[in-house]
Amino acid sequence: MPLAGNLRDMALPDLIQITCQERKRARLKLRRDNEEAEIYFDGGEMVHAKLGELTGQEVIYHLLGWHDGEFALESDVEPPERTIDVHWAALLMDGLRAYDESTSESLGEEVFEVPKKTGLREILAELGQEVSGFMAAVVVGLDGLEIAAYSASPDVDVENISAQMTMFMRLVETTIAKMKMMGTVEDDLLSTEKAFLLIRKLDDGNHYLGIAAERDKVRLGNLRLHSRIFAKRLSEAIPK
Amino acid sequence: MSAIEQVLREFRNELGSEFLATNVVGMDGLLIATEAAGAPVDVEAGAARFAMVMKLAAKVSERMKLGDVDDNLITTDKVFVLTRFLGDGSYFWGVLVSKEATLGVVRLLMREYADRLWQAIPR
Repeated sequence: MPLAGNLRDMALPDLIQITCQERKRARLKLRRDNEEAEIYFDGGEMVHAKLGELTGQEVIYHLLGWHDGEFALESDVEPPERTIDVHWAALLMDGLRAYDESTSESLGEEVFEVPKKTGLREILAELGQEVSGFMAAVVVGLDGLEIAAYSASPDVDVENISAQMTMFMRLVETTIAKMKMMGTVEDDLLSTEKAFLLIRKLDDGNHYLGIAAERDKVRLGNLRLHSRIFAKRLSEAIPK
Repeated sequence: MSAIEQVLREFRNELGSEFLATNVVGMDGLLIATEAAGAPVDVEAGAARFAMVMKLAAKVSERMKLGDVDDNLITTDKVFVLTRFLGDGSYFWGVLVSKEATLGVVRLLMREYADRLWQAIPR
């Protein structure tokens, strides 16, 4: 039996977050007036969305403006196609940011502009191609919430990586700041039995780039070099 | 000079002018031995603070299922700070070197000296 209700009682971002975190394969049907939309989930990600002729992440941006309307979430419905490649948390964050800006400018109108694609995930994917043994890369805010992520395998828990890396880097920065004459942290490289974790603060001062790579495959110099190169690109690509 | 201080002195001599300071610290944050090249660093405070960093490093690695921590390297605009667990993980070794140091050499030397330092810690 599908989970059903009204968006007045359960907001769409909450529905998306819960479904993704439970890693369900599911279809979320939404209806408001004469409009009907569908969002498909699989393996902890939103993979497809449709609203009339519109498909993909633009649908999500549009639906985030719905605060009223019926919904029904059905489990085990296979997605007919894949039109979304962006991590769900990044997509929600982009969409909600755009919605906030739009509503503050238009005094409450629900229609808002579709934000430009940030391209952060694409840059992370490119980074993944350059680093041998690449496991995952994330761009996270200082609060530990990721704004973009890319992993070589769906089994990698990028949310966990984001949270752990941020917590660690913040302690490292505090430690160095308290130790006089040591300067300002550029990056931290944690070597473990199985992996290297490299964390670098981006130039904007508000985000970290975290990269995880397999210990026995990665070349350390190559990893550090590419973290510097891609940190610059990511910093420029983050929406201001 | 104790056995552990002798090992640290030998390590310092191998690194040359890039060496700034080193210490061996218990995971309770208390300093066991130190060697410095006049670097203006509060070694006692550093021992306690970096013990916290190493404890969190171990926790992060455990939560991410990445196995035991070998070492941690912090790069700042002025220095490199390398920390490495010794023996059973009840102590760690910290090394502070200037940015002119050859990182690969420092890491290699630390791997070579780690076991000697562990053996030299009085029990």
